[in-house]
Amino acid sequence: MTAKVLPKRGAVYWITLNYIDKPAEANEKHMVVVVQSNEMLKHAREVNVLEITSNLRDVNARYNVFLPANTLTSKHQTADSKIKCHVLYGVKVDDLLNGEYCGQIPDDIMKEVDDAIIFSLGLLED
Amino acid sequence: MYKIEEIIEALLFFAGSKDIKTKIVKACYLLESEYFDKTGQRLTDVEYKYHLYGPYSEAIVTSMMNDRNILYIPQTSMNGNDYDLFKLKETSVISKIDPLTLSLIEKWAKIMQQKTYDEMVNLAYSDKNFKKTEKGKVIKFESDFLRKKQLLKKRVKEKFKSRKLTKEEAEGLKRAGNEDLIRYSRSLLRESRG
Repeated sequence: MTAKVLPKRGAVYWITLNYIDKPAEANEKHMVVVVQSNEMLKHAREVNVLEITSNLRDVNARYNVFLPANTLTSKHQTADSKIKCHVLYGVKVDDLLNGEYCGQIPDDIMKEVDDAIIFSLGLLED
Repeated sequence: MYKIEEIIEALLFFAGSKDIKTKIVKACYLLESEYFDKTGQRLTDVEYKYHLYGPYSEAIVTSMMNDRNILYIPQTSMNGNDYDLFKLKETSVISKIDPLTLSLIEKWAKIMQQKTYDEMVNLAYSDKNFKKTEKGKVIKFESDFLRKKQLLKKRVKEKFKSRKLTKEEAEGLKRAGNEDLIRYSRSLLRESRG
């Protein structure tokens, strides 16, 4: 199924994540959330995403954000999940468009994601 | 930070080479105000004071008078009032200015070109930094960008308190890396088995 929704910040897609560090999962599909700014998304061909997983280990760590089951409209998110904010992945916009659109993360959870990224990347530190 | 001469030359360049002193001063001020609002940094080191006819800086007038690239032409209007016209002779500053600044300069140059003297003065009167200043005092610039950044910083600081990872968090990070390795080795095993 092809995603018809153009990526915007907070959008979730079900895609094949072909990143080098995880060759084991080269053919596995993952849910990812777009964290690139909407302004950048107007022009960028590659965007930053975070992985969503149903593995709830260390979900309370400050670099993870809890995503309750069925927050998204997709059939892929029927279990409680976490957004892993400690690793940012770069994917091609085409990969997102070839994947399946799963819905939009609510604003309050995106705020949590923002904070976790700030913590993880050490932004705003003196 | 740029020299005020460079900003004035660029303003006149985009505004069609000449304009009157007051409009140039107001355009410089409004440009400075918007630049600070957007970036949290000053564009020039010029100090503006609250004058009866809006923000004013003697440094701008002195710079224009001393700039060899700008021609000073004293004029008298039909009503007999004197006014100062400044005309750009030549400039090489455009290539030295960064694109964001250049786009803001172009915007204010076009506004300066289109607005009348009274309209430019009214625009300067309505500036938020000017409104907050007392008569005769130096105008202090405030930035939405900086304010938002400080608020965010405060919120994140309160939320996380310590930047250090807890023992559990540190172990969790190590484990996350290991899980990937384990999955990788399992997939290799699956592949080798065909």
